[in-house]
Amino acid sequence: MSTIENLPNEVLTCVLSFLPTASLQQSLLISHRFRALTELLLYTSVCIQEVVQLTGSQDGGPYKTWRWCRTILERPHLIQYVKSLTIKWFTDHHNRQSNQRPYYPGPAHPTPVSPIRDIDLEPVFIELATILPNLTLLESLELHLPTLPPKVPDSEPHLALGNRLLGSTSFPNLSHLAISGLVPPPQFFLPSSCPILTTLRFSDVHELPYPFPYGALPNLSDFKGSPATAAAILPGRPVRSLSLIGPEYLRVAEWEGISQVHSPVDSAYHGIESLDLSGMSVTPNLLRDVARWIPTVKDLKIRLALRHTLHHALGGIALLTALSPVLLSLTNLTTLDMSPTTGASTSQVQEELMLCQTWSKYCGLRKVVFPSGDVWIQPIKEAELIGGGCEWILVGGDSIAPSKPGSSSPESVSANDGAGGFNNPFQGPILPPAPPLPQSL
Amino acid sequence: MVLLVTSDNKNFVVDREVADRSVFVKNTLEARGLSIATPPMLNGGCFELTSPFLQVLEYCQHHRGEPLPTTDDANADENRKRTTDIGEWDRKFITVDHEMLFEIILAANYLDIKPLLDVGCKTIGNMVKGKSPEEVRKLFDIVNDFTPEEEAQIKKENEWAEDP
Repeated sequence: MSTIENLPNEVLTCVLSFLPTASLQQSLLISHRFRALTELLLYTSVCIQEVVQLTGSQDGGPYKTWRWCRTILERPHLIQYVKSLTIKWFTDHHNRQSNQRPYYPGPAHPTPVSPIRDIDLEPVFIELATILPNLTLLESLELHLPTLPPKVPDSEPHLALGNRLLGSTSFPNLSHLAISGLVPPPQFFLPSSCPILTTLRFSDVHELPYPFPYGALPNLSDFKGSPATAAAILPGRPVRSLSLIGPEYLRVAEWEGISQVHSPVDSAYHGIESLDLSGMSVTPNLLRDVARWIPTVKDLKIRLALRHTLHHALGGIALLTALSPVLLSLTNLTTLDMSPTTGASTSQVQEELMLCQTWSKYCGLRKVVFPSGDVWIQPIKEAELIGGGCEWILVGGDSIAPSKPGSSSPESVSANDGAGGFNNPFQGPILPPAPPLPQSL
Repeated sequence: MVLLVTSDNKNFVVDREVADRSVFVKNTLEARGLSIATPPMLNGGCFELTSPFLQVLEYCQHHRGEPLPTTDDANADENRKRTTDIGEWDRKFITVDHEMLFEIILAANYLDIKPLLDVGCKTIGNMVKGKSPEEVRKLFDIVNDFTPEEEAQIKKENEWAEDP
């Protein structure tokens, strides 16, 4: 007679792995055996998200974070399970004005933040500071702890906040680290502290208040942060993927810092390949700077700054046409994603196709996502390799929604470009007749 | 063709492609360097009954030729966890009484047929989902070995994991 008790632990763990957290709460209480197996899962990957009221009564404090800390301190054997820890506080300030621009303490656009900190976060920080250095098996750590900025900048207790949390900790297995809210960011990047860290995200740090130690983070390949922090951290590190946040302009010194990415050991490293500018307002000028300082970019994601009525009126197409000369200089570009652009939702299949064809004459573009959400790709064809035409195909977005008549087949919007090798746009064969367009146009 | 023998001495001759659904059988055959032409003997050795093995064979017949899941693929594992959906055929196949369900899962685990193991585990998972601990204990005849004090303590300790 087989019962559920006959199933080995690894099978029951497999069952539990399909359950949502709410069900895991229940399975803890089934029996001692289920409790032990459930705890292993619950504490391996810890994700705490809660609303914290920074002003007002103590009732609005980070209770869940505090409770997790207490449990860990009462039952220290759980520490060895923790591989991934995410703690995310949403503040009341943020909740009340959910459509507010993200807080960014840059000098250009100072955000007024003035509530007085009533709530005492001291207890929870003390407990976190006790636990974090012991989580030596951590592979991923995300701390989004929005505290209020210090009333006196660089005041001693506030500086200590982040440093107390991570201090001189060493995380030998940590590969992913994201920190926000702790301003200034903790100064713990000793060369030995995170030897295999590959991903670092400082989503709200404007400038590092300390020099970045030489030799720290030798494997950093993915960075997100402000231009100033990027310029401080990137030099000498093999970053392939960069996300920038902030205003629409970078100083030359910042570009110089960013352009000094380097891998001392990997001879195959060729610089930044993926650039995400969806956290900035992108102008043609900014793109010109990208072409000048990071010519290695293959994948580019941008949020275009649509400022004038004219830009909006044509679904941003007019502005896109103006991009052509800039794209000419990004010779390594293969993917251009403009979907983060807001305010331009009208899809104009014909114009988009023409833009794709024009652009791909100058650079090796293979995929374009327009502000409308339309996705165009240019598959590599044998014909093209021997000098024949190459065609663009609409593969995603509103324009190929099944309800829309006349666009049932994505193939119907493909076209021959005939520009031959796009690295040499002026010596291609004569353009073939105008491409066939979908009947809906 | 491969000859498989269950522990109650029933013989099954199956196509190599069907037998290969089991990573255990596949590895064993490969380790012994046996060709497809010669029908080797392989003692399953784990089955008290022939019936779950028949079920498992039916599953392997139906899914023969499909690509086997790659091991240690982190992304695949993530995707697997995200979906608790079970395919139409699999759902009908696994609609059996509890005892048979556990037998099939044990067989899939022993023979290392990961997709079948997942189907079985998802099926139990879907039964557990949304039920109170008491209801789950009743469903699967599990004895409650907690004192009320222990229950209260466990609830408190894990309040951090409650949904907002």
